[in-house]
Amino acid sequence: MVLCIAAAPVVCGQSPGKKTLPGPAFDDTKIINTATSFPVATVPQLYGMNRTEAGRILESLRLRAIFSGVENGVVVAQKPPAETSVRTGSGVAVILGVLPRVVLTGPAAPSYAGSDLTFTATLAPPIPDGIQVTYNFQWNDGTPGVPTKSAVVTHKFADAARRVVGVIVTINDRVKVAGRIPVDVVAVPPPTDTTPSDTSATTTTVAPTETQPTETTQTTIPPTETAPPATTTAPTTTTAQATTIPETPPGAPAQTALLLIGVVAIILLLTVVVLLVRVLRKMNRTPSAQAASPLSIKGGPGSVEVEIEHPEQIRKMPAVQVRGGIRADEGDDDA
Amino acid sequence: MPEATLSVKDLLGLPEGGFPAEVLRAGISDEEAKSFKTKVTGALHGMQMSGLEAAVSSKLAEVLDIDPVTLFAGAWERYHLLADAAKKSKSGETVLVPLDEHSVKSTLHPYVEIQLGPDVLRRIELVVALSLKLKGIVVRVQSSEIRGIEAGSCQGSAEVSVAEKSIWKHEIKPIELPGRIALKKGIAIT
Repeated sequence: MVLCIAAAPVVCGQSPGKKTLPGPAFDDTKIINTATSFPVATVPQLYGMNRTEAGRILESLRLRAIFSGVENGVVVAQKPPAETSVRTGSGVAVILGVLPRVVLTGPAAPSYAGSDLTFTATLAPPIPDGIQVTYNFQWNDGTPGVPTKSAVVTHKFADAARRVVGVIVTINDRVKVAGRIPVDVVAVPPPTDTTPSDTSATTTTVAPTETQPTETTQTTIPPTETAPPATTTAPTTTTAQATTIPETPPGAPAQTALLLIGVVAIILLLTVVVLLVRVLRKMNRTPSAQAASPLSIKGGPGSVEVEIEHPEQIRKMPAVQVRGGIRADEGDDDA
Repeated sequence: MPEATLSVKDLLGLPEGGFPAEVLRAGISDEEAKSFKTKVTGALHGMQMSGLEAAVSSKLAEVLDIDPVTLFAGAWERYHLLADAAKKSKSGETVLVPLDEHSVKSTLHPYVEIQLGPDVLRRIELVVALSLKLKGIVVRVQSSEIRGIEAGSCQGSAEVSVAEKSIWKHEIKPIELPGRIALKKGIAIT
């Protein structure tokens, strides 16, 4: 049996005729889809093109552009989307609008030198999916800008200074929009030293042994340096063992952890204090910069009264009238 | 160099500093004046009253930057002196209307308000009285609008009062109007 299906899925032929088949229907069916014979075109990515460019490209693909939106804008949306296969002659809805702007956001203050600072570039309004976007962040500290697909990046500034971070966003390899944000990079405040330094223990001189009264050893010496004496006499080996004791005291990890917690707590406290001071300053500054009740001066012309004495005596003389025009040419009339 | 366009402010012949300083104190008692001064200096630390007087004077000058022809036109229209010319000009003719010597009396009631936040501290209402004698005036009428003064002069007197107290008087010497009148757009007449 052969079925022929035309452009519309309608059965247009059958063989054999009305012969009843004992087996299941269509078990040996061959289907010819003649719809594939229509010429098709792939809808291109039009984002960022102007009306003329988009129209020309669609025309070259034998597609019909249906424009809407801002007259002098660029393509901000299209339907069907890019890479869709459609029949030639089909219409492609092209919406023209304005390019998105870049909103670059930085880390919350304070931004410390040497710490990872996160910057985020956002396009507003967001662009449709499937459009290639490349971000190139400019740090203005000598670091070269590297194009990236990620809108969120981190960066460390080595020094405390005011930096203007910029980003150039390339959309669809043809449209570039830029944004920037100033960042006040500040130095990390020195941690407050409230406890005696435990590290001093590591530099403590170990009591000399009887065998080598003149030898003093510091824990900062790598163990390999103690090896040669170890090969000579046993007491030296003892010295080497003694030097390792202060490095790894039984309570050291706990002390280090406590120390770290203390430092972090101090940094957090300082951050909170700095932010609090800024907020308070801002609160104090606002009323001083702008008066709560500004003095304003308004005015108006008010009403006007006019009057003429003896108006009946004013118009004694006739007015002069001035007329003008273009006289019709007699020759033209004859013609 | 052409002379500046004439305005009501010019007709008053005010000195360089604008309105006299007593404009702020006129019509109120010494106590009220003192209270007013306290409020102003309390709101604007370090500001002298002379600064406020200058600001008020400047605002009044702005308010009185009115083309005097609008006053004349109002008077002529009131007495339908140009009605026939307006009618004729509708057909495209330019009509030059000579007017015999006449006097126009005009009274304006400009005001200035000094506001502190939502509160009006002081509202100064002035009365500006102009008494003008117009001589040899020729008015150009086109498309039912006064489009210019082609000839004539004006002279007379001006007086400014606040709370029925005269604070300024000025005698207006003859001023040739052509060249001093620059109507930005025609003044419609009926």
